[in-house]
Amino acid sequence: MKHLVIFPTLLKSLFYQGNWNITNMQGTGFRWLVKDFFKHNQTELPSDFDLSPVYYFNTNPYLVTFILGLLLKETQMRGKIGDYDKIYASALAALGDTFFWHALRPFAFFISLWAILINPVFLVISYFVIFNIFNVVFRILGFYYGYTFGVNVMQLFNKIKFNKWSKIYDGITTLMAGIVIAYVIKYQYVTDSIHVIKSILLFIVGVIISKWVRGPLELIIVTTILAVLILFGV
Amino acid sequence: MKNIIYRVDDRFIHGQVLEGWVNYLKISNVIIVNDLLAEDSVRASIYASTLPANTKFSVYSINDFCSKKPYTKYKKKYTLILIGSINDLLQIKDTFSENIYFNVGCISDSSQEVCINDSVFLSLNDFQKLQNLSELYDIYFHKVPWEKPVIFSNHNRE
Repeated sequence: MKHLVIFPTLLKSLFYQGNWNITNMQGTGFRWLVKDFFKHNQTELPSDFDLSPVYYFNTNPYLVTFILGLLLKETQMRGKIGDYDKIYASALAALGDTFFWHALRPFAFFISLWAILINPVFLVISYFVIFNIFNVVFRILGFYYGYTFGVNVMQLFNKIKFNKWSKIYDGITTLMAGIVIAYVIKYQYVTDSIHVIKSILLFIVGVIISKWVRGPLELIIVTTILAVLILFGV
Repeated sequence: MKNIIYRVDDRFIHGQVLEGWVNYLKISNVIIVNDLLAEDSVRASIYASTLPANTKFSVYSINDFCSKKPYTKYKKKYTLILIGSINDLLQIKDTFSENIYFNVGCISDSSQEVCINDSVFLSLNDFQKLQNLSELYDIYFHKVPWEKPVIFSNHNRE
C-alpha cells in the first residue's frame, strides 16, 4: 500500500458531519476533509471539484474515507474527479446505512448483553468497543483501499459481499436475542406455568407493537405501556 | 400503496431508498431510467452493488423504457422506478397511469426557489410542471414510507 498521510484527516473525519444542515447536508464538512487530505498528501485540488459553499454531499460517515481515497487517486491520475463523489456518496450511503445503522447496532447490543453478567458497566463499554471496532477499522482502511482501488472500489465491497453482511448480522442478532430470552425465562422469572403464559403473551404483544412502532411518538407510547405493565407486576 | 412507484430522486439509490423503500416494502425490482447511466456500465454497476442479492436491477434509457415498459412484467410485486429529474419524469409520460404511485423523494439543489421539505428543492419551472401533472395524478413528496407525505393533489379532479 502507498504511504498516505491519514492521521489528521482521520481525526477530523470523526466530526466532519457536525455541520450537517438541510441545505447541503455534509457538504461543508466534506469539503473541509477533502482540502485537508489533499494538502497533507501534497496534491492540488481537482480542477472540477465544486468549491461552492452550497456543495451538496451526503453519505454514511463511517465510509467517507473510501471516497477521500478514491478522489485522491483520480486527481493524481487524471487531474479531475468527474461525478464520482456524488455517485459513491449515494452508493456508500445505501450500503453503510443498512449495515451500520440497521444491523450493527442491535448486533453490538446483543453481543454486549452478556457482559452484564460480570458487571453492568461492562455492557456500555463492550457495546462502545464492538461498535467502534467496525467504525475505526473501516475509517482507517477506507483511505488505503479507496486510494488503491480508485473508482473501482465498489469491487472490494462486492468481493467481501458487503451487501449481505446486514442479513448475516441480523441472523446472528436474532439468534442472540433468542438465547437471551430463553436465558431470562429459564433463570430469572419462570417458576410456574403462569409465567410461561405471561411470557408468551408479552412476546405476542411485543411482536404486534414492533410492527406498529415507526417513530418516536409510538416508541414513547409503547415504552409507557410496557413500563405500566411491569410496574403492576405482569 | 400502489405496486409501481415512480420516484424522482437525483441521488438514485442511497440510504433512504435502500432502507426506507427497498427493504421496508420488500421491493423486488429496481429500475433506473436515465440516459447517461444506461450508457455507462461502470456507474450503473456501482448502484447495482448496493442492492440486496434477491433484488433485480436494471437501467433503461428514456426511449427504451417508454417502448419496452419493463415494469409490466412484475405486476404483483413492488417495482421501484428511479428517475433523476422532473424533466426526465415528464419525458416518460406515455407510461403514466392510475396504477402508479408518483413520489418525489430527493431533489437536492438547494439553490432553487421552492423548498417542499428538507430533501426536495424545486425551481419555479419544475414546480409549475408538477402542478400541471397534479391535474391528472396525485403526487407524493415522500422521503420514506413511514413518514407522512406532503400530497400535491387537485381536489377538483373527478
